[in-house]
Amino acid sequence: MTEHFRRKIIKFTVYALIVFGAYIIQTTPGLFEFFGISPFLVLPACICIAVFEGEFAGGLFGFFAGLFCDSASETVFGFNALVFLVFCVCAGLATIYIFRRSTMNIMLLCLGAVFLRFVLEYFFMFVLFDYENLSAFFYTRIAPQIVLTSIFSLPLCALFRKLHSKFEPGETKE
Amino acid sequence: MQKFFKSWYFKVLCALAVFSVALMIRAAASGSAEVFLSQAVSVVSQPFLDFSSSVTNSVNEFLDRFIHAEENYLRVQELEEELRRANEKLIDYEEKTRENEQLRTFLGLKETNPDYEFEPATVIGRDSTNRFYSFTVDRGSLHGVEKADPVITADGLVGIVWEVGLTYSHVRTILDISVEVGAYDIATRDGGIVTGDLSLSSEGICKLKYLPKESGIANGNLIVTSGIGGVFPKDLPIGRVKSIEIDPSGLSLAAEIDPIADIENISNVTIIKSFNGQSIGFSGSEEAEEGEGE
Repeated sequence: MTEHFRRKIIKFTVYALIVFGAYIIQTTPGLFEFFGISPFLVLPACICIAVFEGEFAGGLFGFFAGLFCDSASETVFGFNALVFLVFCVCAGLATIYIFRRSTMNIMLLCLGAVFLRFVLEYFFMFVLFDYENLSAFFYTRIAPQIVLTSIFSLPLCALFRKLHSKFEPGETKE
Repeated sequence: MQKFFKSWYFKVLCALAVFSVALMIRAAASGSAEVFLSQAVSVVSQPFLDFSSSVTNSVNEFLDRFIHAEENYLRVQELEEELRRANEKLIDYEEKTRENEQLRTFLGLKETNPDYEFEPATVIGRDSTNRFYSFTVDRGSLHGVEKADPVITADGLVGIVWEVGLTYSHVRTILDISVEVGAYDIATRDGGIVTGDLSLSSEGICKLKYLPKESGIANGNLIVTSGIGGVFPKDLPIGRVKSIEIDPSGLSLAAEIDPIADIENISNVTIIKSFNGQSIGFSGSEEAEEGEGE
């Protein structure tokens, strides 16, 4: 086993632990909960992995992390897995072909992914069923969660950048 | 980008996406997320979630003490005030209950003895050095209480007012060796004098002396006041015969009497201020101090 391969295993193990930690944080009642709203941390974590490790690693992480989220979510099982997979692949490809890995870009990607994920959920879970007070629900429950998740994405992004530079010191591209 | 779409990465990712869609279709069709994967994920994450929840709860409970300190302080003050009011109400309730109980007793006694004039009183002091359970009540001459007035409870005779102040009275009980009460056994009609006994008073027992030697008195018989002498009304229950013995003089019988009233633990009493036949042959406090002398 080469040094490079061993380093990769350690790196992805650490990433997996961080994603799992993010899942624990977002599903534990009362932990980082503000006015009844908790941040949705798993998706930003996977987006960060996709940004730093490429579309394939990001897609795999997104898929399995999405399955975890599906087990705790009210959405149809598989919804998060699919959405995370697609968003992470897109984020990885966008970083390779369109964006630089600047903090602002990563934050925008996280915010966009989280926003789209919640809008999709909002549409398929609520709008399609034509519930009452939908807009109020969106502004009081979903929008604050998007904002809170974006705020928490910043330290996640910094953490992944730090880890990536530690495990891949040769890659200085931003 | 073209390279990616032709790579096996893309095929793997597409397969995963199709798998996700299949999961969604299956979950939507079955109406439940309880598929194998969901259960597997739950099994993996459950211990961590349990641990995380317990840690979070502990931390939140700890932080709540500081975050809600002022709120809790105000709440405690509010509850203390509420408790104080509740205690006041409880005291009032207890007082009312006691009064009610006494009034019921009075009513019963009044019905059978319409001539009785009552004064309810509360025991406010009991000297620990007194061996005969004498006590002080919160009624005195201002309430019309006089020396040698009988003191009773709903159960029976307790004692006699020995000393009267303006707002208090000292009461000596029938366990006191200085108190003598004319009494008789309602079964045999044999009379004697109930008084305290040094060796028995600590057990809450008094003695019926000077019974005729040929008396047929038996254990368990009820002893009541005779009313002779005018200090105590007639037929107030005193106690029941516990044991019988021959007086040391050999001339009469003596019986140990277990008072009906719970004299050792008494808290409320009733003073009979007047009754028909009171003071007949009784002319003042000196006589009372000497006992009824029946």
